[in-house]
Amino acid sequence: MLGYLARRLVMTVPTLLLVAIAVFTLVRLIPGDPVQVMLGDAAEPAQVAQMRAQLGLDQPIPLQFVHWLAKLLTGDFGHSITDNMAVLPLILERFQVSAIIVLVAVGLAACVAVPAGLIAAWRQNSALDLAVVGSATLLLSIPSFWLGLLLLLLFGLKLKWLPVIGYVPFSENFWQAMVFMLLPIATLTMIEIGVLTRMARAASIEVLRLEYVTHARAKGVPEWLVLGRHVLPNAFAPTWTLIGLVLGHLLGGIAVIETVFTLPGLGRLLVDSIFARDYPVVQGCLLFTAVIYVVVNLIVDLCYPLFDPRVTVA
Amino acid sequence: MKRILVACGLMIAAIPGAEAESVLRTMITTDIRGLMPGNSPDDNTGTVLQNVYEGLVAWRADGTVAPMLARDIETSADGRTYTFTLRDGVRFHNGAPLSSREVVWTWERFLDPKSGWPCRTNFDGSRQMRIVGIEAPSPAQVVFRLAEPSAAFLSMMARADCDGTGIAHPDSVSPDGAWKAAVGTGPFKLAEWRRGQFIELARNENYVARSEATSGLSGAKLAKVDRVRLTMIPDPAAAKAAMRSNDLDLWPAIDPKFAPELKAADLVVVASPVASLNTVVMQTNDPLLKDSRIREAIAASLDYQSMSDTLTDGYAKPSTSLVPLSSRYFGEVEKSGRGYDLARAKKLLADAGYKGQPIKITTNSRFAVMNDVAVLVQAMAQQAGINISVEVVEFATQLSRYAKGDYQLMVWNYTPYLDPIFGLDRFIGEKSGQPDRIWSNPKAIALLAMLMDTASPDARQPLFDQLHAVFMEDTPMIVWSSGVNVSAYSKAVRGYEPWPGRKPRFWNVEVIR
Repeated sequence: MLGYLARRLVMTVPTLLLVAIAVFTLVRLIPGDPVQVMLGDAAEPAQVAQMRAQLGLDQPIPLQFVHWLAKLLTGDFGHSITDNMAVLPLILERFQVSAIIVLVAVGLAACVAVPAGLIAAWRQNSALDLAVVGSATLLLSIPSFWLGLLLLLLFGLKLKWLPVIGYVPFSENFWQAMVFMLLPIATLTMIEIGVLTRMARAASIEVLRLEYVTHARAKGVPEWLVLGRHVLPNAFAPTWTLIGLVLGHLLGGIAVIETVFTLPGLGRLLVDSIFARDYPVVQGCLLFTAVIYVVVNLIVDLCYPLFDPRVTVA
Repeated sequence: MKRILVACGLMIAAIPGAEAESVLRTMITTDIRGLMPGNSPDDNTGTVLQNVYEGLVAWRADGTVAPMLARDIETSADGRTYTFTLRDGVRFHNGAPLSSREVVWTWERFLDPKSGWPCRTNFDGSRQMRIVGIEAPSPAQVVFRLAEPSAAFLSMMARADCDGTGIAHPDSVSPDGAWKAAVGTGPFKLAEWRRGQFIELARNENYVARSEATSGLSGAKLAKVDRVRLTMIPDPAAAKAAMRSNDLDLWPAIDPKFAPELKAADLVVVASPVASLNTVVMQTNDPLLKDSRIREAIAASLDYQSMSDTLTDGYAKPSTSLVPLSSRYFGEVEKSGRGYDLARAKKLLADAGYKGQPIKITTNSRFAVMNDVAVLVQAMAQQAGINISVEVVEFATQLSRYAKGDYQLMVWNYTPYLDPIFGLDRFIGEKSGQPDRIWSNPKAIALLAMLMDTASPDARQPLFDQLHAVFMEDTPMIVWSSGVNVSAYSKAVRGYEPWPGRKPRFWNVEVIR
């Protein structure tokens, strides 16, 4: 187990190095000058040149990369061009917001989607299956910003149950934070229910067709036990992989939901930084996202044997 | 569920003191970019800082200059020395009294090349004027010495894009030299800044208002609410919902298309012309567009009334002058602008030998109105037989290309300047040294130089008139309207007005619930 973990961690080094090179290069390939954005259209060319020199943007790109990487190895993600804030604390502060929404929403979605998928598969081609598949497809098809706005209009504007804008950290006031987080979590949960239900159903159908399930039924094992003990653990493994991928993807930021609900999350930070061409923040966010993706998938892989005994991590 | 939510709501309402204070709940679209005055041309940053800092002088609404922290301003006979006598009783937000020491400290910081202050080039000789010395002969007096006399010096100090060159207390800066706080003298002080969430301003209890009537950024500025909370709301749909659900009292700059819906929700919608220009700039070095007949033909093919009606829901009046509609210099001559004349456009094109060569108009996807302008220009010009294609890029890309002069036609909106000479200074000049300049006509450059050296409004008017005439003849760009600012607010808000300076002012605003 430890050997496997060590091997996986070593393997992440070239992955992250490649990501760092790609991120650094791609950010600079986007047309637009961060200094020009910061100084505006009234800036004199000499002023722009001076600030570029101050920020080291006039140096050759490979040299800029070496400097960035050297700092990165000491844990220094650099400072924002826009407001000179240290990048890593900024990312961690924003990540907390995104992480809470994503973890709760994906957890809730999994709690609903896995049983729903299992039941739909169990009653395949019935009206119930049709209803589950139809609902999942509908939820999957709705753009998150639209669903978010609908919920906002319904619960914020029409029913006036929840505030339309604002955010309070959980560390400050748990109940107030809950009030502000309900709608974004509900939006993301509904979207992810669509994704996970389809996977859970497909995996369950496959398992239900296997011989050992037929065998169990032939032996007279009660149906709830067949589903709960024999089908669910085996069908859950692919869904678990998908949950890992979804988590890794969403933890990198849920910019649309954060924008609609005015939440200070990582996605909004990334989008704002791209608009401002704030290279250090964009690089930091993307690299951080890559690290999260790798870590989440590593955890998923390490947990895999819990659901599928055929898999070992030796 | 409903009970839980109501209980949560009651808990929020039960925060101690929440009811006792009057709070103006408003918004900005993104986070601010720092606390140093004049360090960013961004409107959101300026909105916050103009309520926190004050300069020695400030612009009135008509673009003339009024004293702000200064009580008296004396100019030497040779026009090179300005002596500012400071007002008595002014205190910074940290309680320290204002003296010449802080003024000199702030200005030395501004002019230090290491500070990277974007407005430094206005004062260091890069452009028209150069400050050669700032002295404090007494705690109440500050003397500015210029290399050459400049009629525009006080107006340059008052520029809103430089946050009125606001005076700060040295406590604003940490020992490592970073600008960490906003300790000014304005009617509001910065109470809290939660990055990415909100900014809260609190009433400056020690504020001593001027006795003159409020005008623009000058005069009596009374903080009538205890707090102003500026929530960062990037999404207009969320802002609209927040206004309608009464989570927001004031939306300073709405998309005019939302106006009917907000009015229907019992909100007040008001508009004001803004001292800015909405334009389509033309690259006069382009092989095709260097022919002024083709430029004029494009201008003549546009129906300005229709553009204003469509793009601003009728809130902006068409205006084709380079002097903004709100300016005191927008006179009879400036009114006689350009009109829609398809026949003339076709004749000009025929005279120029235009054979349908493609012309590209560049715009961006971030600001919907700018995108719509490009589409309208394309469609209208097509009626005259002009072959225009629309190129949509991201705003930062567009800005970079604007700065390099890398375009044929480009949709561009200029920042408001209450004194229009600074707006003109943005696009008149030699392209050889500054590729972002639009208009290099020597007559225009000379007239701008004369305007810079002329302070008297009466003496300026004929110069603006002459410049307008040259502009119409040369057509280096198309002005399709002056800017417009449409605001929406709840009926609990009193005393708020949009104005030609665009950035919202929170002084003299009350919230009566």
